[in-house]
Amino acid sequence: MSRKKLDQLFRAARTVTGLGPSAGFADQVLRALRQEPPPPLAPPGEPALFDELNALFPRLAVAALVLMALGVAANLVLGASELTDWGDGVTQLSTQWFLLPKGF
Amino acid sequence: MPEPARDDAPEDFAVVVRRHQARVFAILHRYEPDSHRVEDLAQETFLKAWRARAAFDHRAPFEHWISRIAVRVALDHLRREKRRRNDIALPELGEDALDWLRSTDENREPAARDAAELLHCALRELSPSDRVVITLQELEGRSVREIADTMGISRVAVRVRALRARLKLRSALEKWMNL
Repeated sequence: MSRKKLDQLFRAARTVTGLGPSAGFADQVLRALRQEPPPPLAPPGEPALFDELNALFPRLAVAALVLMALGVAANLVLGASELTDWGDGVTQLSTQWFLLPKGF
Repeated sequence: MPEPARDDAPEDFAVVVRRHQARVFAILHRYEPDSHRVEDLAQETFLKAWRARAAFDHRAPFEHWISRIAVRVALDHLRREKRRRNDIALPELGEDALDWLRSTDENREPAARDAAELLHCALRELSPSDRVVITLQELEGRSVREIADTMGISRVAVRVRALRARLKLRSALEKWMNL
């Protein structure tokens, strides 16, 4: 078969058009689309460390402020009552506890 | 021109279907003569487009995107058919088509219907991907670059496949000429 004959074949076949869609084709597709399951939701993953810290931030800030206020208040009270050896007393107690031969 | 959006409702997408259905049917008809099967394949094409609508980036016209999906649906269809019809007998060709094929008059043009019939039978001798390449090139008039983009292969591969497809087509048609 010559190249010319094959080209004639292609040229003639190019003009052939098939039947178009039926009148209700788009509605048929629409019905199929409505039956499509919804796309799956992303599974809840482990929250990131920074997300947890962000969520806890207001409480942590309040707790830190309370601790600082308590420290300042304790310092003021001790200073006012002239109990300056409170720190020394605590040190002495812990040293004694560590040096006990059988513990408590 | 209606194009799908990520948050479209199915009713909005039906407008897109109405706009592009003729083009999709024309593409699919090149690979499947049975109109009922073409309708099934067209529905498959639009369902795939609906599922993948989030991937449509609006950089190229929607028509190109949906055409590419239709060609891939056709290619899958041809692969399924190839597996199913591996043992098919010689095609039944009409007398007029065979008459033109055996004619030695090179100036005699074939009737469009005979040409389509002959080509449809001869194209079945090709591998599905070679068939898609030659159909896009010779019947759809697509450029090598467009075919390469559509099929996801290199331009060299397109040229090689087109050449191989033409040789196989000529060989198949010559076989019927001598029957």
